Amino acid sequence: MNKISLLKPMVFPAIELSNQCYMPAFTLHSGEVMQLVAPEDVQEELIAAWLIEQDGKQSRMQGLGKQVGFVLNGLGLVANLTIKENIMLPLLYHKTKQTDVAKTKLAALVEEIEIKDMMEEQAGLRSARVNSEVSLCRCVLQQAAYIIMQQPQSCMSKTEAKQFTERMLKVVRDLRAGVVYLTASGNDCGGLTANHQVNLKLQEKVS
Amino acid sequence: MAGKRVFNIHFYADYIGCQIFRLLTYLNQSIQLSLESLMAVLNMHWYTRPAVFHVVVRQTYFTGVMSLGWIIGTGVLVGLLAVYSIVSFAQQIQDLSLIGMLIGHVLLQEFAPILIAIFLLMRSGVAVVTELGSIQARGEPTLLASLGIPHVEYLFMPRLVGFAISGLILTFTFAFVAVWVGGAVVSLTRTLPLSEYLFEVRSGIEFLDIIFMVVKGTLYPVLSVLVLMHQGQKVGQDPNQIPVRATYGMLGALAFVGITDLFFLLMQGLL
Repeated sequence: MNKISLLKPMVFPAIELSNQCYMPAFTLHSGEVMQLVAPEDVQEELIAAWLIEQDGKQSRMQGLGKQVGFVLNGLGLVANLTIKENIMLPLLYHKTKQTDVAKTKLAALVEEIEIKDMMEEQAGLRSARVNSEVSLCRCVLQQAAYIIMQQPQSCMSKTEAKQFTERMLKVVRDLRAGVVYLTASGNDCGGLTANHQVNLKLQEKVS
Repeated sequence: MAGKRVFNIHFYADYIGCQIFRLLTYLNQSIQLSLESLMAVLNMHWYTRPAVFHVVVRQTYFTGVMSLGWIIGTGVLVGLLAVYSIVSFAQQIQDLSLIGMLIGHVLLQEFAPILIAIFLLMRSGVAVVTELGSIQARGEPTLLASLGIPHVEYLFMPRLVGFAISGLILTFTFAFVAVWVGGAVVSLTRTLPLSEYLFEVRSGIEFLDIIFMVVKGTLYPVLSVLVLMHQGQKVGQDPNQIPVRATYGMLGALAFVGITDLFFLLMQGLL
């Protein structure tokens, strides 16, 4: 886990988005939190720009599924897989030495979270909480050095949001991960403390 | 007056141009998707990736293995009806050498691949468009991209492999069952001794018949699934498009298979 501190900082390229928004280039070090404030449609556009190139080919972001984890709002599950398969999916795809370790870690991990009863069930359509929990589990298993979050607590009840926030803070702390937090409101950083903030509407770096 | 005529000419030119542009865009997208899927099959990464290999196995199971019972049943029926009719016809015109030729040319080369392609379309075609459409509407390609999994490799390639393998195996199974059941029927009804029937089949069926059966039996399901996958991809974020695209996919695939079969016939005529 401590290998993460040896990793190079992650450079996010500048991206021109439609709607006259411009995301300036920035560098994120492990353990730092960058808050990106943008309306939801701009967030979607930004995520698509990171993941898919203009010509529809694969992404401009290196290390997806290995070093970079995502906790996207309401988007954490492939419906026709079980919850367990969903958690293991990137590790089963990339198949590294880490995969076998992760299989044993998974058993311990699910004891902590409240989705252990549904591990063998087909995912189908689940609540925002289950989507976020599964995404967070993936980040833990793949030892993500950087996590991109998109308002993971939205659509959760207060109790659920509180429990999830506690777990999320623990994960970020344990992994010493750099976090990019996408939000529609400058006041919301999901319980994290932002080191930097960029408002994509204003197109200027505040701090 | 002249102004109106010029306007009309411009209007029709614009309409025709738009339609041609739409057709070219559609063809370009289809070809791109087909090439990407075929490249994903050929680079063989799927074989070493458990997550993808698991989907390939599942697709082959649902498309091929679960259809086996139906195909054996259809093979028995066709064996009973078609082979018996062929043998009776050959006996009536007193030319038993027609048995092998007709079984090879009609049953193996034409009927088996077309029937299997239509069967797979009916059984799994709608499922492919609906499933891919729902996946698109739920935004799963974005999720897969965030996990570093190319959606062509995870969503499209397994269906292509599943249809190709299933098409080939089902065509063989169908032909095998039909020929043997046919032989059993003509022998049991004392129309023709089994040994004579087998002799005629063996001497009448050419190696080219088998080659065409293998090629068509694999190609037609592959072409169908490429059309279906393209339609599934076109659903986008709108779930209301799923039934529309399923209809287009089924009709398009059927037409595509028909045109390809016609092309084969013409090629054979030229050769």
